[in-house]
Amino acid sequence: MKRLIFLFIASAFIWYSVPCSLAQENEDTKEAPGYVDFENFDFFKDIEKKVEVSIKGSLLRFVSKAAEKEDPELSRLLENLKLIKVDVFPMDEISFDEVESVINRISKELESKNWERMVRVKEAKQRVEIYNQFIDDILSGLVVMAISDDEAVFVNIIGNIDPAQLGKLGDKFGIPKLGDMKY
Amino acid sequence: MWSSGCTTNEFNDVQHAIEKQIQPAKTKTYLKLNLGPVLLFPVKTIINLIDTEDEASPYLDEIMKVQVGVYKIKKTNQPAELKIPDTVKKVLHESGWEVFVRVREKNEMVECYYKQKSEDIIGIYTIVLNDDDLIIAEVRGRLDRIIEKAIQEHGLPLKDIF
Repeated sequence: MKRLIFLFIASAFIWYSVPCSLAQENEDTKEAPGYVDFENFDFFKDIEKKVEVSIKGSLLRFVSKAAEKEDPELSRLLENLKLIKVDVFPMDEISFDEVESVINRISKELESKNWERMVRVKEAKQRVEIYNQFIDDILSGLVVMAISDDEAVFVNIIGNIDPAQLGKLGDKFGIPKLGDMKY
Repeated sequence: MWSSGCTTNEFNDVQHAIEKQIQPAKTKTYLKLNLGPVLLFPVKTIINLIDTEDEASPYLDEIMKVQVGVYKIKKTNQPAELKIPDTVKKVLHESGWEVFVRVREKNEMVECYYKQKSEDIIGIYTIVLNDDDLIIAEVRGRLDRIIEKAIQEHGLPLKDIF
């Protein structure tokens, strides 16, 4: 009977700790350098996203392991990342100006936190902004914001990012303009 | 059409939340399956016997639980909002599931969640809702090992994943 009680308490403790480890991982991600909390902007709460991808921690290592044999370079790149977050909004219910003003506000905030702008494309129906953050000569954060005719894309990648592999990451995850980057 | 075992409260909560959201459209159970360790054991045994080339058996050994629900959507003349409500994310989050992909197209919505225990992925939960069907699927087990085995044997088409 004592053994049964012990087993019950032990299993309850293990299952209780599962959400805690996830919560801890979420906290770690939010505190990591290079993280940008887009949800601080009302736009991200009010407008429904078309696509929302958030791959972090254990799941990134899981994907990295899965890619090990097929694509070792991509596997190594993913292994050193902490988060890949992609939010895509459809442009059929929001205006170009509305998204552009959000991009301007985020850009301002990033610049006030010493992020560096790498790319700016401003055309009639297109806008792209790419920012990066280096910490101790390591590329630790990347933000891509892009508007096209049919969608607006916001990307945040954090971790130890290999600049030489950015193009590959862009191709695999369909992140605009990353493939053209040269460091 | 076919059902086996009883689905868990969490599974039923997700189903009911979606059913409530899509009203006045209704759902009709097409397939409902819940195979826990007890029901999976005879399945594994039978497959071990017939699977002489060991194609499926190694994967099944790593699976602890499978729950699948396939429901046909029956629309009425009144318009219905076919949408996975945000309460689903809340219900699953409270049970330790973390969303990693959410796609909301006009005629189809997909949500994928994962559950981890320390560093291991121990569960994948997928919900698909379109004009015709609602599909809810949950697989629990040593998913890292299943993926590892699959890659060893068949490679991994990364382009299909991303």
